[in-house]
Amino acid sequence: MVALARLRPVLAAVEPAVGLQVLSTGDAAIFTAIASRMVDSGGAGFPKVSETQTIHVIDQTLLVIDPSLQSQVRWLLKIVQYCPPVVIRRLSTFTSLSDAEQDDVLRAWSRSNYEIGRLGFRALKNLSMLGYYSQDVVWPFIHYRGPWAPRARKAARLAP
Amino acid sequence: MGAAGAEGGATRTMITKGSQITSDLQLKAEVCVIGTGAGGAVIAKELAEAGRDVIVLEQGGYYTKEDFTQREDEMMPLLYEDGGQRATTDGSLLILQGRNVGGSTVHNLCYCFRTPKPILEKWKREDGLRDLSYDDLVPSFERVEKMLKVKDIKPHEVNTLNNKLREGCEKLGYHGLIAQHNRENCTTSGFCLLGCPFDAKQSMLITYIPAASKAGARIYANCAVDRLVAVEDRVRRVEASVLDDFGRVQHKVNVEASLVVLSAGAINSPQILLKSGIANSSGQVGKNLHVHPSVVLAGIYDEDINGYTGVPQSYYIDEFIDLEKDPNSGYILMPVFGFPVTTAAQLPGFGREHTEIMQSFHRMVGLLVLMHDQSAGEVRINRAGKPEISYSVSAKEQKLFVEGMKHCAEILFASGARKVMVPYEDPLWLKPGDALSAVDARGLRSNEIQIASTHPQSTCRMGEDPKRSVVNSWCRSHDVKNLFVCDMSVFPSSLGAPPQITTASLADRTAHYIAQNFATLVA
Repeated sequence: MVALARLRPVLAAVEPAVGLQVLSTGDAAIFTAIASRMVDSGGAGFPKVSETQTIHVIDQTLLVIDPSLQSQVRWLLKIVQYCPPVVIRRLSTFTSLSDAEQDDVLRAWSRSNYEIGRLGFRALKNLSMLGYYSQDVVWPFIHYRGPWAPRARKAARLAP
Repeated sequence: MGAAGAEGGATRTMITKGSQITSDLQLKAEVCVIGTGAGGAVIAKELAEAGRDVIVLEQGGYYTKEDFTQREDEMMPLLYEDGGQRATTDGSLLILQGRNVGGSTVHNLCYCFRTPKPILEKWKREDGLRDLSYDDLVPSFERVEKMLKVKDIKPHEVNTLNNKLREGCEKLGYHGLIAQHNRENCTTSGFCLLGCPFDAKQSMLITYIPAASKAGARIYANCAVDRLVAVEDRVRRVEASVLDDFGRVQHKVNVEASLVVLSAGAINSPQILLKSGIANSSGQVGKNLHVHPSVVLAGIYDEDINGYTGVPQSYYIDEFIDLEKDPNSGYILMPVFGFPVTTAAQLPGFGREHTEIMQSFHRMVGLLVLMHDQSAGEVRINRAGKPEISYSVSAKEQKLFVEGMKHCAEILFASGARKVMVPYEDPLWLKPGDALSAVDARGLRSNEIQIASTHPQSTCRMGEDPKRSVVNSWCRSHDVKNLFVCDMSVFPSSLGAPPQITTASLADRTAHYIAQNFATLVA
């Protein structure tokens, strides 16, 4: 019985039960680009961010945090999207940059002389890691077995 | 009356959730307890059993074993303040605290240590706490330990991660011990940090809270206290807001009580007092914040460790702290592990290098330096009344951290690690035989290394001098005669040990004092 209880069904990425509640489609595209660089696995074959529910989990998390933080995160995404001319002197949006250039932008934020820059990077990193590494489909790649006694995921929340 | 209670768990605890409150409430009680962690839950149970009419307000939600899905993305928002993202304003220190019925005892790792005798002697010597000797506390220790079923961790419960570190320490001749814990019939599933889905962890949620409820205490979840309204030297009313799942105010709850016990933790207790503008003639509310700051080093091994399985923390390395000799200095080394999200968030860097480290997740052993800190921070409130936390590690303790990190690396290598990572944002990788002086060169600078805390304390400290302290040795406010503060915020200084038993025992002692002197205290 114990062994049975520890068996975890292999879950494929499925469509989320509800649509985005906090992030707009545009926000989601920027966050997908950021998260993709944060968890880049090179040739290791990890699932792509876009093949998982990463953005959905981030959106659900934003839904239950302080509303003022929700708007701060959305502003942060816009700043990242339009910062390349200032940060790496490239006249482009973040989502239009190459992978290497996107890495340069994120690295610049992580090493910013301004506290607010480093905090912004930390927030985006934490949310990216939360969204990606909570995915069942990612766990086999890091040899994590998942919940000991698996239970159904909680139902997605709808914005009030 | 606009509220219907909910039954939860096998113990049939009656707790009113915010969603069951359908209108504003005006309530009366003899005692209003704010918070349900290791302080508040004990106070509520003891006073209810002593025959007092008790109301308990908890800002977080009420969750039981059925809710604990062992998934970080679902549990962190339910069980932790700010979803586990509470931090100092400069982001340099992450503070993990509970926000639910049962408080941090629902997610803690169950280390059970009595208050160190030298610390109590220091408090007596420096803060005048003459009524708070070790012997005075023994009856409370015994009651609490019985209630929480405190016992030795059995050899078979020590997991691979802890055994590795024990081997390393024994090779180096460092002293360590297998601790006691408050688990009963533990399955050793290892998901303690996300709430025990088997009710094996003897947290406040399944011990003191059901007992308080059985004795008649009325417990309201999702009720965040806005302020305490005082007239002259008495609290007359507790004003709270009923919050929904999205943090929006749904209704108001006012409680008129003869006596109020504030047990909201070392961040939220001073926040409430500062918002209320009371109990602060000393100017010490929110000051003296100690946090037991910690830094984690990760060792990577050739064999599978799977540190997230089994009892997560059982071994405890006390080689580098000697409170008898020096009650103001030292550090403890403790095994630590993480689930994927917390590990990924705590690891430095991002992208390919970060992912490569994550591929060794199952071969990773964490060892943390936990500082018995004399560095002090502060809790203030901003215009919105929310807490703003500041804290920085002193130069002396930065040096001690560096020493501790070098000892961590030494122990990890002695136990078989093939490489060790010191988690600077630009990580430092060490191999066996490398000179550890590389750590000296990098030092410990704010925001260049992840520092975390699970033990904020001392922001409403005890003392007999009203000019230097917020409450007296019985946790009674110097200024407001019917107000007690009873949680980790009252520790006069850093405890230098895991705080669960000390917090609960102080609460037990305070509850018995209140019960015996109730008529006088509210007269």
